[in-house]
Amino acid sequence: MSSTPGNEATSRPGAFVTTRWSLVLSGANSKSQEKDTHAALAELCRIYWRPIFAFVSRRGYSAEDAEDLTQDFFVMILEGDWLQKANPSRGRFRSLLLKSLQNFLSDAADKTYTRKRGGDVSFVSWDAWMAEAPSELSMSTQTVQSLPAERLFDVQWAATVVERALRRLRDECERKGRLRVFDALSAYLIAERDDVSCASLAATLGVPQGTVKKLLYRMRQRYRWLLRDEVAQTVENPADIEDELRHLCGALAASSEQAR
Amino acid sequence: MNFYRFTDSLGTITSQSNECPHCRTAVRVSNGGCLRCLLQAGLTEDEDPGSESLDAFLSEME
Repeated sequence: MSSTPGNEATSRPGAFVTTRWSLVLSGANSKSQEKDTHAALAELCRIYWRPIFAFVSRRGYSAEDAEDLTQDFFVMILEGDWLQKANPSRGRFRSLLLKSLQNFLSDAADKTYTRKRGGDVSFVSWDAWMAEAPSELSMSTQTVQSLPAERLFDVQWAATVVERALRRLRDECERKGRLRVFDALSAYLIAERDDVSCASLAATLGVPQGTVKKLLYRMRQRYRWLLRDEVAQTVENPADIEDELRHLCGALAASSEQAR
Repeated sequence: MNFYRFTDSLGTITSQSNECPHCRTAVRVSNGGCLRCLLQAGLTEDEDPGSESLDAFLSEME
């Protein structure tokens, strides 16, 4: 894999060398790497704004105040000395961000919060964020209402990781002029063998059943790699990918228990 | 909590639970798949696909 973080053209699994988060950590105290570090951190913030906003909203702020607080939080991270203060020795991006957000909201609660809408500090417009990566996450009212803010943060984080992997897979198929393949097969990425009707899919795609089986095998393989790559961008060491995935799976399991 | 803007920006809140028959969680993503099962899939690490890659196969398809 190339050393470019999140390089979408690369495909070799098992070799997540330089990731966005490892780039941020390695450049945290280096003037010469300041620009690259800032760009990598800004990209991570842009990708993971939804868990932040969900957490703030769940803490009871109005939508407008939650937007402003989220913006201010990102400004603090990107314009201040967050990395140095946060002592990222170290931890994953997700856990460090959540801890910082909790502290940020505690401080905000101690102050009379002044809305900055229309002010001179703005990270990026909400409309642009939402248009760029619309979320199609679906949860029951019961699930949402039963989750504490920290759990909702993890669920939104997991959804961001999975949806980005799916979007990259879709884009790869589209670039090859095979969007129809993605549309027909993506619902079967995790299906049991018995749940897949290769005959029906073969008829839909106009290819032999054997081709459907090969396509499904390769799409699953590629999806797994893309998913692990997305997680890799938020941890310092590739060895942490498994733990991070297990943490997020655990959060989802706990969320379903809480919803019952 | 104000669910209106929250729903707009963060996903869809449904009245039905749509529980996954495999893991029993009820959170779905864009392709209708279960979020937990889709995450769980990442716990299997593949060998290098080499020429078996999806990209190559899509290129070869008639």
